[in-house]
Amino acid sequence: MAELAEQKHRFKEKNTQLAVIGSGDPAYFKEFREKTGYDGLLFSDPSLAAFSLLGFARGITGMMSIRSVFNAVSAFRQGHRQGSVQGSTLQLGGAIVINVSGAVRYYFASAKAGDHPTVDELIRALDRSLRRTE
Amino acid sequence: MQKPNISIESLGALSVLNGHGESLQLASLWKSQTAVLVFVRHFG
Repeated sequence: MAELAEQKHRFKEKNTQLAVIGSGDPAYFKEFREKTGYDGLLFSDPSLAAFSLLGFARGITGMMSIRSVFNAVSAFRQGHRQGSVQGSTLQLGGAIVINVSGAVRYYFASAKAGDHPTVDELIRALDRSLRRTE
Repeated sequence: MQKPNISIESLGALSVLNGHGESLQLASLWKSQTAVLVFVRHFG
């Protein structure tokens, strides 16, 4: 998230809308923003309906290794003790790029915790998408 | 992971909540410009 927060301007330069969507209580948005430095569009999908529709895995079926399972369980326990983790710690994330026609030009689903596309990768996907629509 | 057969109509009809707890239809995010949606595991 830190990289995304620092380089948010790159998406604006491409005239694209960047939004971060989590699954926790919106009451924790402020804390999230303070922790990450992200000040852009932020939403929550508490029902996980969008996560589910996009095929972003949930639970141990989405974990690729025993170590990932261990880490997820550990994080889950720590989150509950500390009360600082909002949303499902067993839920994996992802990213999509959708153009104005509703065509999905990029799709990334995390295979394990901590797995996410870099800003460079998202920008490259945007460039490819924008070229196709020119 | 392989991209599932995504129904954009279904996705766009879903609502998410903003910081005030107000609903926003997802489709509005790509209505006027290409959208990059990043889904995070949790806020924390």
